[in-house]
Amino acid sequence: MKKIFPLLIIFASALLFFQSCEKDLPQQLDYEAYEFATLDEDGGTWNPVLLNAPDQIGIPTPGAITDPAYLTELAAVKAASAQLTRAQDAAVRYWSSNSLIRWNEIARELTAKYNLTPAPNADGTYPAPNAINPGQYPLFPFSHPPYACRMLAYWGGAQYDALMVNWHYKYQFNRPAPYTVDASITTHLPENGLPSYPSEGATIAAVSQVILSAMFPLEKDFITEKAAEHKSSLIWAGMNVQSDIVAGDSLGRAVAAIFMNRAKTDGMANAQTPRPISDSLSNAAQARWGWHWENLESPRRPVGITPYFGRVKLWCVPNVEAVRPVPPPAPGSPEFLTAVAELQDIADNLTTEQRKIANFWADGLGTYTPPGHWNRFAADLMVKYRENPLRSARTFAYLNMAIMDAGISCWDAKYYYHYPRPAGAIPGFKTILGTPNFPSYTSGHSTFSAAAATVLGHIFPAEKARADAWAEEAALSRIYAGIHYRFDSEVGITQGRAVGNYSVEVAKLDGGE
Amino acid sequence: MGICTIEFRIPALTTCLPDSAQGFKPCRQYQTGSGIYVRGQGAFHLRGNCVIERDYYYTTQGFYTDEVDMPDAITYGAVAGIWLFNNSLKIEASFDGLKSLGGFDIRRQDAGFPSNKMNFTRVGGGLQYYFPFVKGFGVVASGGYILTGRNVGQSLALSGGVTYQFGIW
Repeated sequence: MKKIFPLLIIFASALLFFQSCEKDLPQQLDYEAYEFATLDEDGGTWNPVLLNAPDQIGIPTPGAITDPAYLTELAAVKAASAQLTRAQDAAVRYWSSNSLIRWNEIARELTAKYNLTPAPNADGTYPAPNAINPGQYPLFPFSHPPYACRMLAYWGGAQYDALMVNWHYKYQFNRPAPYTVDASITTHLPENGLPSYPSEGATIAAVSQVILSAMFPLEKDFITEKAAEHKSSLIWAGMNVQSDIVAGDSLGRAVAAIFMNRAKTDGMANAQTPRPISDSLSNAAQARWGWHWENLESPRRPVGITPYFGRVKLWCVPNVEAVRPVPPPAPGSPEFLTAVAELQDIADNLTTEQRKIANFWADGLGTYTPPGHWNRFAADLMVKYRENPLRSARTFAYLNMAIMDAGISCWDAKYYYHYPRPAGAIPGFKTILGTPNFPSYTSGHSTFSAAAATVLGHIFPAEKARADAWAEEAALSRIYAGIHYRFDSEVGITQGRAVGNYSVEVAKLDGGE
Repeated sequence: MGICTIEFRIPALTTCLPDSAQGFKPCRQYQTGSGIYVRGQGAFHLRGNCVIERDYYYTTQGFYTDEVDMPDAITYGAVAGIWLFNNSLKIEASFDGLKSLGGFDIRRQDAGFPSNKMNFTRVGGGLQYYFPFVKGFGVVASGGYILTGRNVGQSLALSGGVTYQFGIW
């Protein structure tokens, strides 16, 4: 009995030790609310993406800060922010000083959640998601990289235009923030010095609600709940009165509607083509080039992912031909055989480092995809450089328009050249990642990443070398994984840079440099 | 931090009939009596985090880390067997299982993940036979069938082999 007692103590302390090493794992970017590096008072004069001018969207002239209606709102803020419940405090800390980061995380998380390829029917055919009936299996959407990049481009572009309108009215009406009007109001976020009418937080919430609810229709309730909490948190934090929020919300919805109108006719509805069109692309490639790509899954998927994504409307590139790469080397040519020999050598002698790189950048099914990965990098940089919401929206807008243009350009090349994957062209070849369901040339990872790195390098010059190195590594990762030839990746990098430069040229002239 | 997993195994029941005083080798020592034996085992697996080669993953929500919180688990099992023909043939039947105390389900068309909620029960059996004419030589065969499972495929596993036992000192 005497021996059991010390054993029990050792057992219990070991249990405690190992339980305590299981710290909470991070589910979001952990950052402290920060003061903005700049306020960009002239932001309302910058060039919008789709709007003609900021005052195209109207909001009511706010009441004076001496009006009884305003004073009632102010008293409500004072009462609400004086003492927060634990849940209210958590909400304020979560949404924090730059709520674009949280909404971007939500968009990325929904991408991961819906990034699952449809399962085959019992008879070997494949069903497709249906936007009209999103809840029927396979759920709508299947948020593959083309879907994800488009969703993020509309979200980012709409945020940028909406915050430009927001800034225009902020500095037109110059309504001081509640804590400026009444210094005794308790604030729970840095007092950023922005005029408070209309509320930038409410604009961000409204744009996110409209765009994300349209892109992920089954998540409408979840998104609505998030937006409601976000808007309430602005009052709890002592940052806005109710009329600031109402005006910010209404202009956000109006701008988001303009972007969703573009989305309805941008060609995405036809991108996932029926089989006859898909077959005709394959036949055209066979006739023109003497080769074509085929899906190798069992049962065979009859149509690749979005054959007509290359026809979707571009943002900053004039047309796909302007950035279409040269034809790939013909299968069997010396250049092709060199690339094949390299792939076989890598497959036979894969190092731990190469495997780690392949896995790190895999961003395949069930993840936020490469566009999501680059948005994550961007969010980290926004915090590092203390960007205000307008400037963050600008970064997200140009980044995601470039990434979507890169996707369109890459998909144009993929289905124009219809080039076979290594697994289809090399007998007995084994890959360490699953081969995606679309042609090989050029590499999507490479094109997305080079376009993204070009924009991030322009906006954050001190990070250019790091961003370019990430893009190069993302491109190499696909060769290590055995799912792309070196020429897919190298040409993809060149193509992505060319696409990214078009976005940078637009950014240079928009007044926000 | 790397992987920290510790396991506590509690021999829930170790009853060897009729002679259990032979330590680790009771199964070969049933020279007397009927040669029937039963064995039971239970374990609690307190699992820490494992590390994967990417720093974002989605379970039922997103995680921005390369660490994965592994669900704790219980394993249990029982074996009943008999030695026949002068201890040259062993026949045994087994039942065992795994129960995860946490984790999440694999979604349709998603890949498996380390922290999936994996449960199963399995029945199995085994044979071991020592040839009477060559000392130490024997053959073994065993099989297991997953009866019920969650995030575990229903499967039958069969194995067979040749054994040779010899003394080192």
